[in-house]
Amino acid sequence: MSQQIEDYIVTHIAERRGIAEGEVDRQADMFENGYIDSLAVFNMILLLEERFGVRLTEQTLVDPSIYTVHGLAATIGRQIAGT
Amino acid sequence: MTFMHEHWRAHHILSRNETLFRFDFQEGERLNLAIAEQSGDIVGLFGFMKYNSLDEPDLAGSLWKVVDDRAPPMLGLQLRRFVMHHVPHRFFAAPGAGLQTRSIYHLLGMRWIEMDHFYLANPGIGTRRICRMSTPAALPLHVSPTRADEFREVPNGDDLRDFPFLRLRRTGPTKDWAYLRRRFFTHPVYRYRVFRLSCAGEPVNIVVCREVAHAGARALRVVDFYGDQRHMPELVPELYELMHREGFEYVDFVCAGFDPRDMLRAGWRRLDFDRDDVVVPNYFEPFVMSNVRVYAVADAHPEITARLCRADGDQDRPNVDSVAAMSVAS
Repeated sequence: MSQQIEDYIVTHIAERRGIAEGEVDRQADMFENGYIDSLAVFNMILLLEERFGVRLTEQTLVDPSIYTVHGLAATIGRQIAGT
Repeated sequence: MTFMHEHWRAHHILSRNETLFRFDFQEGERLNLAIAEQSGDIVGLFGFMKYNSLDEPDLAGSLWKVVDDRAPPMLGLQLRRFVMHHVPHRFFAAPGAGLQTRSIYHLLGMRWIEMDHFYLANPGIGTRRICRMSTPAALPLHVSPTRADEFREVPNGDDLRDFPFLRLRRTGPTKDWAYLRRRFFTHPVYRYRVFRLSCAGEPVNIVVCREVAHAGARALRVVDFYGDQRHMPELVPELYELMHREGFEYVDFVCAGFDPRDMLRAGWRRLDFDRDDVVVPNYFEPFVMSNVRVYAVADAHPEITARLCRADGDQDRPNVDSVAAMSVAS
């Protein structure tokens, strides 16, 4: 499931940045790499919430572990799995 | 203030008018601002305002800004969280939310509100210079079984001490006498006009207004409202007479949380933002002949209903430093 979520995030970033999906580093900080900014991230998270039927808490939103594609996907995956 | 100039908007009045800046944010020896610093520079801030002096006041947010290329991720959210966790409060609500922040507030589980814009048109005005509307017939008034005893202008905040400010605690924000007195009787730039409505011998509403002018014409803006809105049918005829007596082109009221059906029954007209045959401007500094949607945010509280007016939060703030300057400009 996390892989599917990662792929979704990568597609979103690639489309938004006009880059190839293969250029998106899934382990890199999305902000530092310029994939997302502080305003666009909220729109992306809204999309993820709607797409995968989850609700991220405010606490989660400020957890640095979600700043990578991999970390964000894993967090959402855990929530879907109920863990 | 330098941060405001460099990162909020160059020459914003709060970046150049220290008196107004302190009026908005200073509380005793402190400023109601959460600031994030990095290497000695401010990289983010979140300002707030208190609506009353209770131990857990109602709060408004103001000035929420981070420097994207220098601030750590989610700093804006962290600043807001810091304030929400460290400033005891009952309810958070503020008008003037930018559309670009809608997703943030949605994620935070808050209510996103589009404010209404009501108005009364003066049928005695032939040529309208600061609004666009057809000349209406005489006000279709709902005849209230109880008419107001008194509607008078209050020149001094001390005359309002006896008003039951904190009675309506199921609506928010709740504003107290100290807030009203400071906000509207000591403003460093604007001159507000405060009116008191009494029915059956009791004070029932306080209405705060501000005159605006352009091209030799004037309008009266209701910017704050206190008390039970069920007395709107008694209030509207008084506003109508004031408008007619003093020659305002119209009276308007930007607000949220007032039942539109009750407002219309009381005599207000409701602006349709999707049409341009009626234009009731929102911006006068400088003047813009255009309808403007105003958004607000509020806690999704199970027991408190948001009721917001134009002057709540940091709204109804001047763009010019003095009324004199405005008069010259218009």
